[in-house]
Amino acid sequence: MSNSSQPLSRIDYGNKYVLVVDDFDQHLQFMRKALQGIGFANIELAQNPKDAIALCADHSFDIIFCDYNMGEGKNGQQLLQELRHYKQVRHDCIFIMITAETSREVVLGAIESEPEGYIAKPFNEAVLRRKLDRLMDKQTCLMDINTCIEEGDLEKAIVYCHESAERHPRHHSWCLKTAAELHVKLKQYNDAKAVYKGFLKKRVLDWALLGLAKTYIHLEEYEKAIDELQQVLVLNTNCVPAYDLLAVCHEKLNNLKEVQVHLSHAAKLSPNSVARQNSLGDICAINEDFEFASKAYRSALRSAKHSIEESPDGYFKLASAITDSMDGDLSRYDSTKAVEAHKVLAELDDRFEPKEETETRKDLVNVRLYLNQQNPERALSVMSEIESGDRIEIDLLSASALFDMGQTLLALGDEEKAHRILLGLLNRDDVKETRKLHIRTLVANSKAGELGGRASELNEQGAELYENDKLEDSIKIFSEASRLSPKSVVVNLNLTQALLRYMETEKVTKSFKKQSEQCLECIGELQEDSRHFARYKNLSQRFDALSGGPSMEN
Amino acid sequence: MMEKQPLDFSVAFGSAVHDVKNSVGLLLSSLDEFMTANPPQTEEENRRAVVLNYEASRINNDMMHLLSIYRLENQRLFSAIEEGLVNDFIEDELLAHETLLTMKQVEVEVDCDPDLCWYFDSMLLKSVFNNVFVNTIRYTKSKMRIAVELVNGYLRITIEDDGNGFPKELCKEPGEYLTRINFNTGSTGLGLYFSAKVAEMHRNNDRVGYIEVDNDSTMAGGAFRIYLP
Repeated sequence: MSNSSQPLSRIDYGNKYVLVVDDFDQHLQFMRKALQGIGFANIELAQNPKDAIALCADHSFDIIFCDYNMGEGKNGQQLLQELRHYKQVRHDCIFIMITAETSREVVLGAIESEPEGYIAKPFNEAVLRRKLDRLMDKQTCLMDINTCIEEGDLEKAIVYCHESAERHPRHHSWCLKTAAELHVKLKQYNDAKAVYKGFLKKRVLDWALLGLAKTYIHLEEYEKAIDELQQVLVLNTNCVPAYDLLAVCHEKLNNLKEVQVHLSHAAKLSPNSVARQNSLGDICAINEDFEFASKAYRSALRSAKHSIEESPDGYFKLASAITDSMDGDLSRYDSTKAVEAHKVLAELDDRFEPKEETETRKDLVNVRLYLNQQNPERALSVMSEIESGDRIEIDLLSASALFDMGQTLLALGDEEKAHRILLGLLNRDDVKETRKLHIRTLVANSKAGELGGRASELNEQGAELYENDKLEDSIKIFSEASRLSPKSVVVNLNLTQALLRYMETEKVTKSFKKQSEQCLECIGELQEDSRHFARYKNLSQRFDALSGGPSMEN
Repeated sequence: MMEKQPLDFSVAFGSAVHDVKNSVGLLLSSLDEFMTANPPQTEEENRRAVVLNYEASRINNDMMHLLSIYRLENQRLFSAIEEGLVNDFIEDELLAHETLLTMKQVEVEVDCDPDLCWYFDSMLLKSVFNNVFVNTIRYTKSKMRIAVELVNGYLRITIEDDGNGFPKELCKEPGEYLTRINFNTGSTGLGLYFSAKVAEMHRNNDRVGYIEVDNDSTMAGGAFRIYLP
């Protein structure tokens, strides 16, 4: 076989340290033989990520091969992230991900923390050797740039980038891309823009468009960034970072529905990112789409379980979202949800050392659970215990715990106290922007749904009668409340529920039917993002079912 | 009473294909390993080894095409065009078929600028090349030539051989490849159909990629050309 192209220099691998991670023993043995054939003398094999981490603690590897899909537990991507995060590998360690030929999803997901190279199964020794040669060659060519970056001399690194772009035509794009990214780091946004735009004149490629979009985001020109990102999606509908960046832009522009759409898209394409699933859950919770929030937090927890990203917060977020997704109607669905919420909180104890704050946060979720299970007495007694500060002083609670507290107080209807705590968090630096947005939304929503004092009293009275199955009495009281506060969604929903329950269990009467119809009409068209929407829909359906059925009166 | 759910054929089919593909992948690499450790001693052994490798490669390619076309039909096959070094790509493909090339003693000539960068989906293009290479190695007499040029804003990769050329019924208009199933020769045109689809997925402004299949070769055999904008 002759080959007219110049062969790369033969590199001596005898003094290089290499690690191979793969759960498939046959493949490990294949790799050992192939690497020996290439000239490696120091080869370590690991059959799972745990062994790999242990080996990295003891050895300083030059090259790591890792299979992406290793069955249960961490995947190759998570292992890479963890090794880099804990600096268990040198900055110049070459990480090569082994992927199955057909699984494009893998490569998509990996964009977040990129390995130096990929190699697709099946491959032979010759392909492996050439892959290694090229990566080593690239490392040598670009050593000056990487050394400068490592030493923090970014200005000099940029100069080297431009030099190398000319000297090594095969690394031309990499050099320009790196130069532009360094300009961004140095806040030289116009220089970065110039590099990207210069490249785009030659050919429209996704990385250059993405880079340009990121630069616009730094310049707070979100509309322009969105234009570039839309172009990326025309080139490549599956570009995960484009969806992530679109979400960033829309959050800045306060289009929260759009944020949810884009993050869902990204999460569907690349479901293993804990950070993204958590952001998605947060946005869904702000949009009061609690079913979807639960789903996202559940995925986040599943992925985090085997990584550095596992924290008690993930458990609280999930338990909270599940609780908030309950309808509070004592239905079978609600009890299933309550069981799951309890299970999530119990699992917390298995995985983390108990802390006073943890107990308090668990109780804060429990209060809302009791409320949704129509057990306000228990909810109130647990809450007063928390507020007594016997276990832990309120002032000593972390920002996350205070947020839980604010949410729980809102659920109890103690808006004044809730607002005081929540608004206090807005001035703190340790509270993320998304959470501040959540707080502002919560406060605004609760203000909009405020009831007058007497109406509120009657409403509670009506609910109590309803719970004791005194349906006719509760209908009377709710009707009175609705006269005082005719536009109140809460009261109208309660009244409708009482009327429907009476008609479903006792008998259908024309006047009650008419009254429920009026109540539903009074609420009018609820927006899908209203926190009452699910309940409203449920009641409307029950009303329709009743109207369609035979009337017992006749 | 619950109605029995019929097993979704396309799902069962998809997972079976996937499974077979994984097995064949392992079979191919084991075969490679075995051949390196135990090179054929006689002419007859060599002939058998070629058949083994060739047929396994064919199964691998067919499975790959089936999976890709399944995804294409379900709008789940997308292209991700990236900048890549053309020569590196071709080198990798040759190395992947080294066993077959050595056993069949095919001489390969590559004419490509080592630093030439172009824009393509390497994963999709790889399956196109696997198919073309395996066929070329099967039908060539002794030589194979790969030439890369820039023609009117397109990258043109030509693969030629000194065999008997493509059968006349395959040298047709693009898009018609799949209809040329010939049960006598076993040729289905599936590979060419797939290659044409992959070429089409490469676009730049209003330019669209395409393929050419004919016997207009500098080496008297068949010529396959893919044009990427």
